[in-house]
Amino acid sequence: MTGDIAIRAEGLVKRYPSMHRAALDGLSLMVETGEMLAITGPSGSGKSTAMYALAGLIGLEAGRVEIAGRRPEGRADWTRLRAGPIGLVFQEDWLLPTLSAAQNVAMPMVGGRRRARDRLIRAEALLAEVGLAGMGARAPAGLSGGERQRVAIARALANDPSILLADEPTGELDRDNSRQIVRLLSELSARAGVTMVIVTHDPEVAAACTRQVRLVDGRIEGGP
Amino acid sequence: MTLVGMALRNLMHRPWRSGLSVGGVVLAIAAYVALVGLVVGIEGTMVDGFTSRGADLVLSEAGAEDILSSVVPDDLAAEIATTPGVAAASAELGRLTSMNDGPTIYVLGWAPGAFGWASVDFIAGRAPEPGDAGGGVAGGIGVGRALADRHGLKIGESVSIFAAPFRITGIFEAKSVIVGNGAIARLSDVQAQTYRKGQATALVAQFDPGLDGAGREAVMADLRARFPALAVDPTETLIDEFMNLRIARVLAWSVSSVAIVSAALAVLNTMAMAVNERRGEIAIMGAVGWPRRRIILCLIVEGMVLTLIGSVLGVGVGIAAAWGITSAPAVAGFVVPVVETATILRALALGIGIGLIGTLGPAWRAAGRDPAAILRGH
Repeated sequence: MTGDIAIRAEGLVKRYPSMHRAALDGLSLMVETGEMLAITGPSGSGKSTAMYALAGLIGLEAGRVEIAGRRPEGRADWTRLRAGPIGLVFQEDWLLPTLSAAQNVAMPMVGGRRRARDRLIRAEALLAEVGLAGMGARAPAGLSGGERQRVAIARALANDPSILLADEPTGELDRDNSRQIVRLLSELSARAGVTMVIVTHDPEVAAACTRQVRLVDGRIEGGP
Repeated sequence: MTLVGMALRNLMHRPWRSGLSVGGVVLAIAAYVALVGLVVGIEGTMVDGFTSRGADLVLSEAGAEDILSSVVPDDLAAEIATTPGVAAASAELGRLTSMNDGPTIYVLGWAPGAFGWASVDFIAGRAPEPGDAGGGVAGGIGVGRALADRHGLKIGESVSIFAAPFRITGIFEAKSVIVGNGAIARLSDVQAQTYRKGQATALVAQFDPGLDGAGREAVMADLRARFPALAVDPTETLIDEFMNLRIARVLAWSVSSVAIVSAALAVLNTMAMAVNERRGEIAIMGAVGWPRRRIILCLIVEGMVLTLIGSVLGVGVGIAAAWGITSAPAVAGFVVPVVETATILRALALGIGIGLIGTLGPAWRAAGRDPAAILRGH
């Protein structure tokens, strides 16, 4: 940890029409650069909503987020951040079935400065980094669940993010694959200094992180 | 991997649906190309029928629906020929009739000395002469080579035209398709067999050589003033006068429009379904930082690839259909389809329009959806 702040969230409030209480009820959170933070909590506590809020994928009723040194104002600002310093991993891999593994990894780079050929070279390198060397030509349908989630992690790293936000990244995997993914994320955090926020209900995943916070009713337990 | 590459992969991933949508576009564009090609062909064939024999001006009955319905006195030709700026004028009587109770052919009656005779080249035999009529024969007749070849006609043979026997005196070549597939007899013989003594369907005239545009306009103004009951048209714009061709044009546009709207709806349906099925894929594009305009562009490219393939195939199918239709026995020899470059460009533009109309709405809606709700499985 460097002591610099990678993410600062203050007073986040999010309400869904279908819920009688706020999903985020004034959540405040600070994550230091290089930190690997686990957000845990019971179902419906607002864990995933918190991650989506930090990624700018949902609108908020109140509160503000400062992330990667920027305070995004609107949709375009958030889009630029997700195309740069923020990488996202979801519970489902959401790989595009018509593209190969390497093309899926290269997808976030489309529209960037890299040429098509360079994008694929980088995608292959990222696949090697997540333990899938030489599997770039495979279609997602030909990969196991663990392999698909590795491809999704490689895709999240495509634009060289400084912050990785993951929502239940092992939620759909068996124990072995889950451990491999956690090991991979820990290595990435240690080796590349990527700040990570991992939403999880799995104690083993949480234990692998450098810090844990527990969300209850949209607020950090014991927090302000 | 590029946007076009992604679009192609998505289209190939659902080959049946893509194929059917392409088929809809092919039909629409083919209908447009074939119908417009036929109408332009009909117009061109008619104009060519006059211009190829050197007619600069056509004078017909004012208000007649088409040239074959026009009735004008044949003796006006001599008066017209004396008009300053007019080099020559002659009367002609054109009829569509059956030959030997079989195929319909175009028969022209030309007066002796009409300048049209110089435009046909008798490659065998001779032009009809006054002495050919008599002894139970209605007259002599020259037949175009295409007509002779198609029906095995020979010089000296008798053919039934206007239910009367005409003897074939010669076989000619003509630059005009409709004349080359028709027959030419003497004006008086055709008048006699069609109960149109002293009548013609049109009077054709040539300007004095070297007359400039203004001079031609002056001659036409003079003729219009002198013969107010006649429509005086340069051959190039003759077709604008006739109701049947105007109806054909409107019909071609109407049928094409229906086909094009149907194709746009087919593409709209395809893209709406594709976008709905791929909500997750579209949401992940947004989640990894694709701006909304790039997501829309990606989907539009997909629709455009679909419609461009359909348009290119449609142009080919349309040209083939137009030629196929004109080779049918009922119309063979009357029309040569003309698919102009402008028609092809308009067809491709229509295809692009179909793609834009069919894709923009679904793409816009899809790119505007809340990615979080989709990615969380809500």
